[in-house]
Amino acid sequence: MKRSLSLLEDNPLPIRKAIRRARWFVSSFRDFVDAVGEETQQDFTLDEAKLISAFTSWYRAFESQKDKAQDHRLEYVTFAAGLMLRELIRFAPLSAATQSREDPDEPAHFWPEGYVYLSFCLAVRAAVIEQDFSIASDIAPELGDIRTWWSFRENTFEDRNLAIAFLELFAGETPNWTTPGIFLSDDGPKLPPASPPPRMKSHR
Amino acid sequence: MRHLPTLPDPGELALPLRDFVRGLRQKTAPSRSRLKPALELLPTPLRDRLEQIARDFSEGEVASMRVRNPGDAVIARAAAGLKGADVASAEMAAATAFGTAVLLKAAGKSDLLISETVAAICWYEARHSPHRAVTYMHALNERELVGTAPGLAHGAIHLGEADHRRIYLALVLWLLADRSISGVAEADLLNISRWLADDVADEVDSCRHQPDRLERLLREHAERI
Repeated sequence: MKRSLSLLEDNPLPIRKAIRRARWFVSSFRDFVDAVGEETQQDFTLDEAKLISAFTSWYRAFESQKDKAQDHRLEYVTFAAGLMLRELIRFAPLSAATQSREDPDEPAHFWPEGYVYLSFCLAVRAAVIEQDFSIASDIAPELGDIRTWWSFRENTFEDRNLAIAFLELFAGETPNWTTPGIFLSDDGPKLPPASPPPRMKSHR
Repeated sequence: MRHLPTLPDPGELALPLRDFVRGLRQKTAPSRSRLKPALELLPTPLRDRLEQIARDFSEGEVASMRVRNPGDAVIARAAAGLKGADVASAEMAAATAFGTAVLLKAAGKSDLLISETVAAICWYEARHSPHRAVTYMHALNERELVGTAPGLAHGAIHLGEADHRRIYLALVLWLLADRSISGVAEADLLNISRWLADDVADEVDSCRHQPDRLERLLREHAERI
């Protein structure tokens, strides 16, 4: 998952700061799309104006809840990656060229754009966690489960905030399905309920 | 055969003369199409030479033409100037003209005229202001850094008021961007500034008469580049 983030990793700024600069966000996302496109044999068109809108919106969302993260920095990294995923899905800067899907049960072919957005956010999260906390990130088994991807796509189209909970799920953390857009509740640190993803649908 | 006189390279002239030559070239731009029927009646060598001159006068080099990249050092000094450092008016004007030319090209308006003289005058006003970025941005807009040569019909190369403001906003954001870390081309920074300007234009417009707040806002947005 941690592919093609060399622009961030070789940056003199810490990754958590570099990713908050549009120049590094755009260039690393561009490189990442190229790498995924090559790996999955798919062509993508990137609308960089939409990418900047996603970046700007993410930046604002990130800043607005940052103060609540002082004692929960590690958790906030995952939450911030979820916010990034939400804004990428909302502004949809990528378009995959229509082509015959080799294997529709492969997430990369089932929802190519979503696969890139999620992979990028997970890769940035993993890189920040590794650099700041010296923790190697694992990938949850749900990442390869096509039924979870059905649910991921349908639910995030209906409620963008659920992208945050799905990122937590794919990152192997306990998702907050009820208030995914809020990092901390009024009574303290986020305590996610152990409920399943909402409206999990069967599609076959 | 005697060589026909050619216009000098604007980049080698002092500011007002540079503007003058650019304006002259812009005014002569439409002549190519008008001359075409007459040119066809001329002997080939003379026709070719005249066509070459007409071509030099047109094709996107008309107004912002020969606006050169003044180099990283000049751009860095101009950028520092907007944040309070001393910078020569000519350097600020050169960086401004370059940035504006790139932004106009991206907007498909590279045939508009950019006046380095106006940029220098605007900077002269802004350098004494406690809100340099805001004053410079407003001055560029009010004094019309970008336009057409006097007497030229606006027609297809007209730029709306909102577009003018958007370009000067992008320009100021670009100049305010951090340059302490290299690795990104100025053209890329300009592109990002353009997109960012589109994104924050309404917010900036809402406080355009509050210089303190606007200066702070411009710097905050520029930090994101």
